[in-house]
Amino acid sequence: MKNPKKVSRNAGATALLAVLFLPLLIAPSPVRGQQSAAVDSSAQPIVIGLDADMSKGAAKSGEAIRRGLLLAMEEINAAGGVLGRPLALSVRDHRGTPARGRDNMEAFAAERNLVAVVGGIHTPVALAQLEAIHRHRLIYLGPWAAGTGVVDNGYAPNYVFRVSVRDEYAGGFLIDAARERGFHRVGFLLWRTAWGRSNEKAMRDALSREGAQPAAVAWFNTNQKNMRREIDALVAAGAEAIMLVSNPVDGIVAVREMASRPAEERVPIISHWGITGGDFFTAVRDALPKVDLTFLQTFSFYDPPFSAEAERVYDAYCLRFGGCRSPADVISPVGTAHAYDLVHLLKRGIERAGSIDRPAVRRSLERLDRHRGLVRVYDPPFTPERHDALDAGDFRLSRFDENGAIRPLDTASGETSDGPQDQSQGQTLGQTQGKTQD
Amino acid sequence: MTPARPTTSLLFQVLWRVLPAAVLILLVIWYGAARIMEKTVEGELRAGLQREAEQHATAIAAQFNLLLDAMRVLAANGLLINSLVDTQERQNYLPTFFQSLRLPGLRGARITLTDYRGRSIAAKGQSESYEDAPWLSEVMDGRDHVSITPEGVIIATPVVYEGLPEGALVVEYAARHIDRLLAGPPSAQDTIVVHESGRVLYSANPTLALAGAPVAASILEDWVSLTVAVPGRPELSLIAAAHPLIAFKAVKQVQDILLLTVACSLLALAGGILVATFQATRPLSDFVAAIREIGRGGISHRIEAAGPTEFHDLAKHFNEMVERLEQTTVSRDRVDNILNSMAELLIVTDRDCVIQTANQAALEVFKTSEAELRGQQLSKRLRHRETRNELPGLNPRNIAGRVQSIEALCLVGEGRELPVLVSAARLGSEDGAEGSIVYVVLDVTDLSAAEAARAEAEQRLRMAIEAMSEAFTYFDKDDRLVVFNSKYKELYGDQADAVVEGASFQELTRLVYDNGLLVGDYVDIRLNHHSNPKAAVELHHRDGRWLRVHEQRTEDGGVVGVRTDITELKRREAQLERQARELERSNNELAREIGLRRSIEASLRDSEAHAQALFEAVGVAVLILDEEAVIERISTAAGDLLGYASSELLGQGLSRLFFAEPAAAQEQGLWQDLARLAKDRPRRMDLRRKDGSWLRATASFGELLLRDRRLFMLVLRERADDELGSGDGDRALEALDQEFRPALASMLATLQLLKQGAGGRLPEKARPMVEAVEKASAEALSRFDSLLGPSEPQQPPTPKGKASGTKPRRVSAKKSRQPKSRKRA
Repeated sequence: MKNPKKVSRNAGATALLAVLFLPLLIAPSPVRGQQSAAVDSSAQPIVIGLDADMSKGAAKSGEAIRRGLLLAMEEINAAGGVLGRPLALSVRDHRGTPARGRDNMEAFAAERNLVAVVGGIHTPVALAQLEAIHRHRLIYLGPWAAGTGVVDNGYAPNYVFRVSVRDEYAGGFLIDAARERGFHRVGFLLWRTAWGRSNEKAMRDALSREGAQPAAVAWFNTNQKNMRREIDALVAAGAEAIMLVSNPVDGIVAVREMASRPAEERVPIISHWGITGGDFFTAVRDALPKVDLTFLQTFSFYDPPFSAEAERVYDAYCLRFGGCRSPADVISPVGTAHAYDLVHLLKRGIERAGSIDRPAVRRSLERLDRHRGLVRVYDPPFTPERHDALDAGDFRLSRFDENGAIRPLDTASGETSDGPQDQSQGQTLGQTQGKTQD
Repeated sequence: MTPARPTTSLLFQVLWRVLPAAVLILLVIWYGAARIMEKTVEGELRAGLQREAEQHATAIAAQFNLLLDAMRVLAANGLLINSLVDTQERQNYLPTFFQSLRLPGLRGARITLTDYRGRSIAAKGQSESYEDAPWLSEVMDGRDHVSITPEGVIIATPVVYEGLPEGALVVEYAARHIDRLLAGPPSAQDTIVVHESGRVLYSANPTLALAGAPVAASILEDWVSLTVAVPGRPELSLIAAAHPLIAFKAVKQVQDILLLTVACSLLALAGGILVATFQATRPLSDFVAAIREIGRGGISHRIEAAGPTEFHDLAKHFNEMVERLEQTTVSRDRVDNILNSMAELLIVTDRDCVIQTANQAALEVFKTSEAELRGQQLSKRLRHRETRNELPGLNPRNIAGRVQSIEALCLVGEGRELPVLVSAARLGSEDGAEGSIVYVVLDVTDLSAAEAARAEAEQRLRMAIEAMSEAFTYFDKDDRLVVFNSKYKELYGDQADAVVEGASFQELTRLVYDNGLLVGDYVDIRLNHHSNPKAAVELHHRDGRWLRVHEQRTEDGGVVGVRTDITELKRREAQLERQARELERSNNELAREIGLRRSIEASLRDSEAHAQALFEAVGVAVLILDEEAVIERISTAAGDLLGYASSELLGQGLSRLFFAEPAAAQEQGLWQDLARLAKDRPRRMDLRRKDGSWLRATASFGELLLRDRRLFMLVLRERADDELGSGDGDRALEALDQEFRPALASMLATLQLLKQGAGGRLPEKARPMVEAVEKASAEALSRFDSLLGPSEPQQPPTPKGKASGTKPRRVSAKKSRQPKSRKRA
């Protein structure tokens, strides 16, 4: 196995370009991989749907999810599949719009052998899909959308399972992060969507627990071209840091706006992880040195909880998609890691249910045993009362280095952790992480 | 014979020839102008319609573009885009947002926000789904959609989220609102907007078309219309139309005016033709009347040269022609009159010598009428003078051209015969054939008598010429000898045979000189004189005779010459010449004497002037009196003494100085006293001044004896009572002695010298005068001597005029000026 630490950053950039040109829409087909003898080649593949933004501003998040799904499915298929049936991926692009998400759900519902649908980054889309999900009893696996309401959706039985951030937890994490960095008055800069409102509530709750209030709350609309007025309002309100909840496209506008301000008027931005779902870094590369931008992350190949698993997946990733020179070349690693873990969890749920009957699988998922995944050890992953597999302990604050690599911060110091260095520096992933957990 | 064409009046002919053509031309002009006007107006109308339609179409396109722009702006609204994502909260703001929406232009439009499938998200108005809309895919591909149909207008624009269309903003107008979308500017009053289906979507003029109804074919047929496309809206076309009755109303009016103008022009033309024809025919009528008048014989009738130039010239030339015709007619009448009044007989016969006509003289001579005479043979009237037979020379067959003066006898009837001379001439006819013969018969009865008388006169003339003592010649104009007498022939001596009639003067002249009959060789001079006779020429014969030739050119160019023997005359003349020379010599001598006398008179005048000057200059009161005691001269001093101006006393009697009113007796008595006292000594004398006072003076009285008269000199001197004399009288006498006596002595000496021949021989005629002057001078000098005493011995003047001793005294004895009456007296 190739050591991921040996992957240079240049190779990662090459791999990134290669990924960008891969076909975005892949018809449901068995995921290629080493087929075990147990796999009935004539058996209908078990279809896993992917409904994410595959073409717009958050397309990279969709692609990262797709890659995690493929890696996991190929592993599973290589291992004989599930119930002797290969796993197949059916991808649909909802382009970040709830309407398409709903329609995609209808389409997925019509697909035969579809057992679950993996969602994307967009909480609004996920929220809009809930009705269809539950009407069609589609298992919805959330690798990214963090809206609290996505999981706490009020449906029973709840067909939504998530290996991702929960805003309820993220709000507290971000407020804590601000506090740790010494920012007592923070302002909220929120996307005027359900996700923004979810985070507003979470952060307000976090602040309220401290008896505090945000300095100000500013909302921006989708594709807003300028955020000067909003940022001015927040700064004028005394915000020492801005808590940003945005998708990549709008996040670019916010960061550029901050960078354009005089240095003494700039304030740090502590962002939810939505900005990392697209080609954010490339767009704000020039502005980033002027802006103190940190954001929430859950997983990083620079600091994986299980380095062996991480190395294996990283190797598989690079083998499968190429262009890897370093972990920095893995686009949106949280999406890949979360999707990877979700497929394995789904496999175990199907296997436990013994069929691809979705209600059965749903019940099975709620009753899975301990599972050691890429992100963490899920023990158990879900329960009937808890469909969020991660908690605040899985969160970490990160930032982009000068090459666009997302590096976790040492939360105490605010500095990035010692992650893998450039290939030229001869540092490997395992060597730098030095952190392995079961 | 072709019947005469019925004539028509000039007016009718002009109208017939001009009016139809004018009508045709004016109608063509009217039609052409009307068509051009129609075309022009139609072009302008179409251009206007084009502009109007394009403006309307542009307005429609702009309206839709404005709507599209507004919708694009709206679709780019962040809240709207956000609503595509924010599905939970959008119902909280979208309804309010949409209710407040208002697109420019219209109310009542339904505005709908759909998702990518056309499902309504929010709407203003009744919500509508466009899931099945055929244009949805077009919008979702990122293109705007505008559909305009009779049922309504749908405008849809994509709502783009993160670069891709994720929804649509749809505006839908109901059919009843279409007209407001398609309405054009107020100026577009006759425009309609037609859908590609053929239905009218908008009509600005209900009479043109009704909205919703198909386009009537009559619009394109009955109306002036044009169609333009609406930019960016291929399904729409715009028809701009104008109703011909309205659009061409002005044209129609102009056409009517033009037609009226044409009609008026025709009327004016007809009137003009009428007037012009009248103007033209009036002079023609005058012409016709004049021609008729002339035809009736009023050849002197004339036409007034007035009116236009052409008629003026025509009348002028016509008058000239008539004038020439009149002259010709008068000439013919004159000829007739001449023929009838001529004394000669004029007879005209035909080729057969049959009399056709004759003049009045012939009728009178023949004592017959023209009718009787006509048809007679000419031979019955004219016969040979000798043979009494027919004159062959007068036979027309023998007359080729003209026959002149054939002597014949004219049988005038009653047995009378007249000697005549007949001349004949053939008259050519117009066709070149032989015509009539004109005979002119001249009664030569008188002529014969005159010829006889002439011959007799000639005979007498020849006899007279022959009887002349002088030689007579007559050379005709060709200088041929015609008449001469024997005296002339004798002058040629032995060459007399050469003197014959017809001999030329030149030959005869050369003959006489060449043969020495005349002295000298003056042929050319003689010939020249003969050619230009002016004065008599004297010829000297060799035998000593002198002939004086008087030649005179006659009226017929000939020269009459008379040669007179002037030998005796020449002799006398020589004698006279000698006498003349003597006389001339005497005359010359006389002239010299006269010159000498004039010289003497001049000398005397000088002496007189000298004496006068001396007389005036002397300060003594002196008066010169004539024998009648009349004052001839008075010195200035005497005038001053008496208070008179000298001129006042000249010519006055001396008694005036003695009496206030002198009477003739008194004056005579005084003068006798003075004459008695002349030789006495000075005496006292009182004289009366001009102012009446008395001058008490001493008077000396002296006598001056001139050759032809006697003068007295009175010298006055104012005296004192005890004074008898004074030095003034002595000074006057001394002045006289000094001035007069030398001059008299000098003049006397000069005269003596003249007499002695000092200035040449004295003419005999002048001698008495010189002697008279000499005598008078001597007498004057003796008088001075007697008055003043003997003068100083003096030496007579030398011939050179140089006086020896004292200067000679000059005394003027010439009488002074006095009134003529007195001089006569």
